[in-house]
Amino acid sequence: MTREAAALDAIEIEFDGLTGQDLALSRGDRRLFEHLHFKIEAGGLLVLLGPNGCGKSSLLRALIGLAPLQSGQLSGSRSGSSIEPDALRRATLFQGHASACKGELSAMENLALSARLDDALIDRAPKSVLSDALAVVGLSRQRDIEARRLSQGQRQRLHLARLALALRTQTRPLWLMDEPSAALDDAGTALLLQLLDTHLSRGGAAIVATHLPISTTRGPRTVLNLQDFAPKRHARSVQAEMAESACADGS
Amino acid sequence: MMDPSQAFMWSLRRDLGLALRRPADGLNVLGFFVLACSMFPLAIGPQREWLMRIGAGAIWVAALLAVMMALPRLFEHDHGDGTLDAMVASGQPLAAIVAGKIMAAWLVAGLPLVLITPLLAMAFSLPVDSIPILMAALLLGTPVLMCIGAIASALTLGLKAGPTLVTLLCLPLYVPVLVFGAGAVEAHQSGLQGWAHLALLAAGMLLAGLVAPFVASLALRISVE
Repeated sequence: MTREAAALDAIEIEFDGLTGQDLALSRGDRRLFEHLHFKIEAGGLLVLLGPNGCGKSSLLRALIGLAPLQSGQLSGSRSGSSIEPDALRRATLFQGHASACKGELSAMENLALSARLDDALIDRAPKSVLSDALAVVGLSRQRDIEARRLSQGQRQRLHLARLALALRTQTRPLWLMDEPSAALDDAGTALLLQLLDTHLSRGGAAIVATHLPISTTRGPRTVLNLQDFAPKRHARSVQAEMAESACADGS
Repeated sequence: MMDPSQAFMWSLRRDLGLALRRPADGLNVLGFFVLACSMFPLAIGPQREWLMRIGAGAIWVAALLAVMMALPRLFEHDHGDGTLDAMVASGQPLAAIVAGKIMAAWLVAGLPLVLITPLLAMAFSLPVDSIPILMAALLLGTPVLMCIGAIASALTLGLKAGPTLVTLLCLPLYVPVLVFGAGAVEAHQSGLQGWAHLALLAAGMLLAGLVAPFVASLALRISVE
């Protein structure tokens, strides 16, 4: 373990906050939201709410650089100075909409691969680390089963194991999660909240897009409803304007 | 953070492991190569001089098409299941990851072609002493094909007409490799040394191996958007 400890100590975490200023995002020629501001600091939780298609996933993808922002400033900071997008990516754990696991590989192999990408595991780490993480999320019996045979919920539990490993090493202080509880049962959701809670209490930050009410006990929690930032409809014709004013008068 | 060599090994090992679980993919390419090559003697007839004359060229064309068959799969699976997003989002050195993927794809789809070539060369009754030249040319040339193809498939990733576009993008760029590859054997058979051709192929391989991972990773960053 000394080699691992040394390797992990060498990883410097460059993050203590993320600020978005006047962000705007479009899909095709439809503007999803604009004039969005947010600020998240170490220990903070930002919950993104809103109906389907309002841009929650797109915002998360834009934050990690998987999609371009139409306008606005995004700056990560570390002790006052801003950090590069690449450094921000290395400080971030991104859990997207897709399962991001390989159906042909076993649960354990999938976990090993993603944990290496997260810097949460050194090369040739002892297998016990992986099986412990799988045991925590209740996948001990499935560890050698091909991921394509796992249910949707079990695959999401595999993500929880990934979070548990990331938590162990604290290499990724910012978690971006897209519907992390979509297919989880009650016990799974409780486990997710517990992991999130621990992460926040250790000074991590998280941005979560969800439909579920997320309640953690610690840290400042901000809720952003993306619908509030949807662009106001521009009247295209006098007729439409008149119809609108008629509606307004009526109400 | 993984350093580039670790990232390279991570993706090389990952893709080789995946190829082992999906042996059909690699065997498919090899099977196509063997079948395509064995069609020529059937179509042309058993005249030895004719077969000798076209042998190297036919093997090269078949190898080129076989490599092209492997290209659509290079990034498509990873794109579909979200693992490509994970790679880009992780902030790990993407070019090294892509280099590992290209290397793995070549080991699975390119190297077997080179190794089985002596058998096919016999079917074309190529002189025994030109077989090593042919193998060397393929050994240096198929990585170039794979590298160029990786750039093309990264550029067209996620497009509906992707595979067609890959073919259209790649074929013109494959011409020099084909000319020098088949030319090496031709030069050897006509009594010249094939070294000049091989040296050019080697230079091409070094250049492609150096440039392709960076260009392909840039293209992937655009394609995932």
